[in-house]
Amino acid sequence: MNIWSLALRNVVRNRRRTLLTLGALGMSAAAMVILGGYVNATIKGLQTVTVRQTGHLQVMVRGFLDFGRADPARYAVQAPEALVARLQADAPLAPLLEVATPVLQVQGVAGQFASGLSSNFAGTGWLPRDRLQMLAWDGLGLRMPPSPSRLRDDHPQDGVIGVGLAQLLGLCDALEVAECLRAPAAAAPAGDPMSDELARLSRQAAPGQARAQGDGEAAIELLAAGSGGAPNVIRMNVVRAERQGVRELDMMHVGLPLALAQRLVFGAQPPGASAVVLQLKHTQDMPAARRRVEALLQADEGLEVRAFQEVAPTYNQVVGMFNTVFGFVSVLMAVVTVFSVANTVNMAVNERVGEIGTLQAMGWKPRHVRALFIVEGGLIGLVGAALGVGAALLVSAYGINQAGLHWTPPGNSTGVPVGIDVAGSGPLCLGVVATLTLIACVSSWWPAQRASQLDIVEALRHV
Amino acid sequence: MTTSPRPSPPPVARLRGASKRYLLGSTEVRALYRVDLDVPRGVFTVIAGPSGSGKSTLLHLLGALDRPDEGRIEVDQQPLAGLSRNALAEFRAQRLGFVFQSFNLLPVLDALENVEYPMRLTALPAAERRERARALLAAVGLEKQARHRPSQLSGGQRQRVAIARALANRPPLLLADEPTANLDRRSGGEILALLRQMQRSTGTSVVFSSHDPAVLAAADTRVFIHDGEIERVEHVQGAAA
Repeated sequence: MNIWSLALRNVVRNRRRTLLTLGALGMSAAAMVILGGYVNATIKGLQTVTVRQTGHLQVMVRGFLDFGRADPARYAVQAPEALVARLQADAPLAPLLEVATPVLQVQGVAGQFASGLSSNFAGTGWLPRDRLQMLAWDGLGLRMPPSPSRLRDDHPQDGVIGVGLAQLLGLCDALEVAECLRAPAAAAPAGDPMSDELARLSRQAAPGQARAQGDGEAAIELLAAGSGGAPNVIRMNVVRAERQGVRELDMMHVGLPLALAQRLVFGAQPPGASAVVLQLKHTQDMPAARRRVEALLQADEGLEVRAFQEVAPTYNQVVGMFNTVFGFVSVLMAVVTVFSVANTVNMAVNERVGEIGTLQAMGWKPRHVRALFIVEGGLIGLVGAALGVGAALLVSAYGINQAGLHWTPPGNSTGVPVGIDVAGSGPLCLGVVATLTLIACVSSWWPAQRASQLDIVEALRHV
Repeated sequence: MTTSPRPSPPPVARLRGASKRYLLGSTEVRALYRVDLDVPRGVFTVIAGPSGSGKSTLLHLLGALDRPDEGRIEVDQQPLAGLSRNALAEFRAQRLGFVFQSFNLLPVLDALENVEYPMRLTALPAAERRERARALLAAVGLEKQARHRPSQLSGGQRQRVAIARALANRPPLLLADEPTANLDRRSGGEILALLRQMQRSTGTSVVFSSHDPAVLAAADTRVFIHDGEIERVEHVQGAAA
C-alpha cells in the first residue's frame, strides 16, 4: 500500500464529489482537445490551400515582394526555365520537390476597349500543367479534392478572371456567371472614344490568335507596361469567372498562361518570371529545402528564397488568430481546473483532519501528508483529463468529422473541411493530459500544504 | 494488593517539570503543571483522573505529539526537546504505538493493511511486514477478518485491529488514550484484557488513560492526576486481569 495506491483509494472514496470534479475536468480537457484539433485541422486546411497557390518556397529577385508588382520586368528572374531545370536536377533537392515552376505576376488595365469598359487587373501567369499539379497538392493528407483550373497547355490564349472583374467589364452574361451583379443602365459615354493609339494597340493584340469564343466565353484586352516602359496589349480569351476570397482581389484577378503573361510584359524581349515556385512533397522538408536552394543560389547574389508565409502573410495572421483563441480558451479551462481540483482537495482535507492526525501520529512527516493530497489531486486531474480526451476523440471521429462541414478561410476562394484533427492530435492530447494533471497537482498544493501543517493534537481531537 | 518499590530498569519515559498551557479563546488553561513522572518500563501503567484533569495532554507529551511549554521529556532514553518535527515523526514511527478512543483506522484499508501500514515507514521487507501483520491479527483474534474494511467490523474488532497496528513496529512504549471509552462494557473488558495480555507477551510498556475502576484494577502502576498535577503514583504487584 504505497502512497499512490492510498491516494487512489481516497479518490474513489467520495464517489459523487469525485465524479463531479472528473466531469468538470473532462469537459475542460474535451473542450481543449476539440478546439485544438479544430485549430490544427483548420491550419492544415489553410496550409494546403495556401501551398496550392503559392508553393512552399519561391525564388525571386531580391526586393520583388516589395516593389516587383510595379515593375515586373525589372524584378524578373532571367532564364527561369534554366533555373527550374537546375533545381530539379539537384540530387539532394530533387526528391523533396513536387513541382518547380516559373510564375509571372503582372498588373495593368483589363478591358473591352471597343466597348469602353476597363478596370485595373492583377494577373498571374502559370504553366497550365504545373498549375494543375500544384492545385492537387495534398501533402498533409487531408484528402481535399484538387482545386479546379481552366488553364490548358493546348489553349494558350485562354485565361480566367475574377467574378468582380467580370462584373466591372460587363461580362456576366457572356461568361454566364451566376450571382453576378449587373451595373445599372447608364447613358452612352459622351466623349473619350478609344484613342487611335489604343485602338492600334488593341488591333495589335494578336489578331487571329484568339480563337472564336464559344458559349460562356469572352475576349478581353490586357494592357500593361512592357519591359521597355512602353505599353503592351494582349488579347485573352476568358473561359471562366472565378470567385476570389477577397473582394478587392476578385475585382482584379486574372489568371493566364505564363507565355501569354510573358508576351504582355516582355513582348519580344527574352521572357523572365516573377519567381520560381517550389512546391515540396512535405511541408516539414521546408527548412532543408530552403537551405539547399540558398546554397545553390549563392552565386546568384540578386536572388533570394522566400517561404509561403512571407509570400502570403495572411497565413500567419490566421494561424496566429486561431492560436490566440485556443490559448485563451485553454487559460479559461485551466482556471476551471484550478478551482475544481482545489475545492475538491480542500474538502477532502477538511473531512479527513482526524485521519491526517492519525497518519502523523504513526510517523508520517509533513511531506508525506502533502504528497498524499497532491497525488490525490493529480490523479483526479489525470483521470479527468484522460476521460475528457477520450470523449473528445470519439465525438470528433464519429460526430463532427462525419458532418461534412466546410468553411472558407480569409483570403481564399476554396473551402476547407471543418473537422477535428484526430489523427494528428497525439501531441495535443498528451499535452492536454499532462497540462491538466500538472495544474491539478499545483492546485492541490495549497490544501495539501495546509493539511501537512495541521497540529497533530488538534487533528486527533477533530471529530 | 501491596505497594512495592519502583522497578529497577530505567523508566521508559521520564518527565521533569513538564508544563503545558492552552488558550481557550482568550483564556489560558493550565493543562499540566510541573509534572515529574517516571513511567516504568515493561509494565501496564494507567493514568487515572477525571475529565479535563490532563490525562490526554500527558499522553500527547509522552507520545511526542506535542511539546511541553516548560520541562524536559525523555522517551526510551531519548530527549525529545531538541528533535525537529521530522525527527519526532521518525521517533514516533520507530518507538511508539498509539491506540485511540475512536480507533482511528484508515477507512480505505482493510484490517491487514491497517496493521501493516506503520511498518511501511520502516525498512522491513514486504514479505516480513505481511507475515508480521497476519501474526498480529491472529494474536488479536481477527485472522478471519483480515480482509474486512473498518466499516465491516464492530467497535471491539476495530479496536483490536488498532492494538495490532500499534504493536506492529514492536515499540517500547504503547500509548492508549481511553481506548475502551467508546465500547460497551463487555467489549471494553475484552480490549483491556487483550492489551494486558499483549503487554505481558511482548514486554511492551503500556500507558493507558482511563477513569474506569476496572482498568485501574488491572494496572501495574497507577498515576493519579488532577487539575494538571500528579496527585500520587502507586506501583502494584499482582494486578487483576
